[in-house]
Amino acid sequence: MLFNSFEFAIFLPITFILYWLFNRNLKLQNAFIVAISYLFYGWWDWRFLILIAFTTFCSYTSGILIDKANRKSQNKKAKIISAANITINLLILGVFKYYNFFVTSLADAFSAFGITLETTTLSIILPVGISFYTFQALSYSIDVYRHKIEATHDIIAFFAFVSFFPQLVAGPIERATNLLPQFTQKRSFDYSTAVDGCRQILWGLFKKIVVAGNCATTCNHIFATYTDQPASVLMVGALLFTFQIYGDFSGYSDIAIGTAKLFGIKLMRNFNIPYFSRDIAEFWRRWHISLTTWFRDYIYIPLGGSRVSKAKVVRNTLIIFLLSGLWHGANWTFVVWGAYHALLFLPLILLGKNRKYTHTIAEGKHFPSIKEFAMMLITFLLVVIGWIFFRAETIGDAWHYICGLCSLNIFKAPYLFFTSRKNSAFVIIMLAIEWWQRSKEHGLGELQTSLKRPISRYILYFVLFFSILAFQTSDSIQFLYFQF
Amino acid sequence: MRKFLTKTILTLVLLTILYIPTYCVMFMLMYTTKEPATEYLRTTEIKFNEIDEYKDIDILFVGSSHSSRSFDPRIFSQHNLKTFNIGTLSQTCMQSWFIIDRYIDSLNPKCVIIDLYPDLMNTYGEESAIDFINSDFDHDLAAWEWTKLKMSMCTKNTNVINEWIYSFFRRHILRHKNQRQTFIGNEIHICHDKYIRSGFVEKDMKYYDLKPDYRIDTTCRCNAMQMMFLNKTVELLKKRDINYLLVEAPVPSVLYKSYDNHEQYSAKISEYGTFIDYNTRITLNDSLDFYDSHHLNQNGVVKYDSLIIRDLYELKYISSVKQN
Repeated sequence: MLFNSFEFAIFLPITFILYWLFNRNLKLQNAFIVAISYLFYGWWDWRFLILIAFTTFCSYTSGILIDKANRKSQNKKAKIISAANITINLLILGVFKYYNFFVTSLADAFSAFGITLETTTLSIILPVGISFYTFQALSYSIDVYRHKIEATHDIIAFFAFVSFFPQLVAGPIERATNLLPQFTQKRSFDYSTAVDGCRQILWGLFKKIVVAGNCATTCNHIFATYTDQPASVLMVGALLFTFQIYGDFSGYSDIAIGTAKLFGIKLMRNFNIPYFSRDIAEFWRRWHISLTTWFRDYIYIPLGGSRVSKAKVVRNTLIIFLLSGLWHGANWTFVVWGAYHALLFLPLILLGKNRKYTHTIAEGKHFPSIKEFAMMLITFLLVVIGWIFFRAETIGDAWHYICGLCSLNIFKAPYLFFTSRKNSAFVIIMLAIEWWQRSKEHGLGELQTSLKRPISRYILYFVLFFSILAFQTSDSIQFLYFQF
Repeated sequence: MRKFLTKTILTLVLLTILYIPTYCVMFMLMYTTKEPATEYLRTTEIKFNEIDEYKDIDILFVGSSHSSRSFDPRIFSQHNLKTFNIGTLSQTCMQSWFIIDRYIDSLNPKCVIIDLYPDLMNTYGEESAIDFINSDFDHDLAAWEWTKLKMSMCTKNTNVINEWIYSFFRRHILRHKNQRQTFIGNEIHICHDKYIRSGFVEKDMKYYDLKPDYRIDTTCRCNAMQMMFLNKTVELLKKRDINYLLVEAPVPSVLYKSYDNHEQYSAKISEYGTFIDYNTRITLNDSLDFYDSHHLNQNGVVKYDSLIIRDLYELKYISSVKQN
């Protein structure tokens, strides 16, 4: 079920009312969450519910076994169980997501040396959101192994933690330390949290349907015909994809977080105005925060992080960026995208400047300084180039696209300029609201303090509501991040 | 909780009430010429404005342009068969059901031929719904508006619903109407299309240049909604004891061969009644018998119609066929 579908518009209010009717019995409420989450996922393909249930059960059982071993100080046993659970989960992920990629890549590599390998690829569907819920389930067993959290014996609460429908298929990738305790405590309805949730859903729908959907239409056309387009149009295409992917993914996260708030659950923030970053390190602290911190906590730090020799820092940085690229999809374009960002990130970490900008830009001011603006612009353009690799079908396509950009006609007004006026207007509205609300949790966060008069708030709601209903395109429907 | 629900519902109602006039006024100002261009042959509109003249017909044809551009009443009338073709642009099972349900009593057909084009079986009928929405019908305006609204809602597409809102406003508030097209004899001729009384749309003689269409999906898929409407149609016809035949009109072999699971598709459709895939029953020339990558030219129409008449006779779906 998609957040921007008619089905969800019926599903959400019904489940919301029923959920709070079950409020007196925590177990019943959690069981209800599991049931509606499985319905939500099964709407796409019920067969893959078995896979989620299996992943969840493995992590639940291994958590209990690890905890038992930990209590008896059987460190080796705990390690073996944890490793077994990680292996099982990664094997499932590997088969469904990466098997064909590795087999064909291996065959291609051998064919470069004139050796022909007989390979068999699998004709299987990629289960929606497999990377998200696998990582979430993994984080639990690792945290139990590391004594960060006690294993839960409440199987319903655990199933609710892994399958909680707002974040099941496209994140945020939650940690057991944050989400699991919320399923073991009684939840109470809070009016202001629910209102804030509704606002966040509205903002997410605007970003997804209006900004991402409209950008996608023009962007898809440009990327499909890039060989025939002048540099200025290619630039428009790259910029539109930059806003498409942000609107799409951060929009999804906002809807997910807002929906969770309606159910009294607080999910972690996933995006924090990433396009207003002053360097790449800041960008990565603000983009897909739940994944970035996952890699940091479960791979980068265990490898030694930045408190090791410079050579190892380089190795660790390369590993997490390449894995992050590969996590996004079984294609070399994603690996190159990861490597590109690693190259941008490495100078900062080696010079110890990766934590220079941790505060919000232009705090307490209306506008950034010229220096801040220039830094923002440079970072933004570097990110735009990276997205070309992310969007292109092959590395060759991405390279030719970038070569196409390197032409003097980049300074000519693109012929698509006038047809993309509407897109530009939507992007400007999004950026303006995000800049204005940059210190808040989301675009419409704490709106009563920013817009004190109710009429002003209602005008803003209406503008967003109107845009969502009136400017939907056929490209507004599918979410890009579902494929990851 | 009660306060939250009340406030949310009131806000949504208020926003929706404000949305409708704002949308209409804004789009009226932005697109002053939103009515379909006058040089466009609005076959759906013409068809349903003449349908009331027909009663107790022998054969009713439904389906997409594969139907409206394939069944020529002049060929059927040579066999003393009175027909009407309600096939329209990209019509899907959903639209077919609404139309059959509405006209089955007045047309009272002996037999219904339902054309099922695989590429439309996995859509929600958006294109066809917009075609109906933008057509101005002379009779039963309230009933038509209700049918159009139901079609729009079935598409679950906001753009289609918006289109209905604006067309309602245009027709009933602004009182704008599409320019009427009048018959000269039994025909209305605009550009390269000719509308023939009884619902047939004939293209000026042309041959397919064998340039294939760009297609993303080559797998025949049937979504649950379309299958539900096909089932409803079939049940309605069975209940009324009306013979029906499910057909797939011939398409150029390059298109037909591009499907990778046509056998499974045929098997699935066959569960709903007798299904004849005419691509396997007739040998046509891709260039000489078609005018584009989808549609038969008049050469192909004559061959296809002659064969289907023979089949209907053999199946005993019709009894008054004159043997040539």
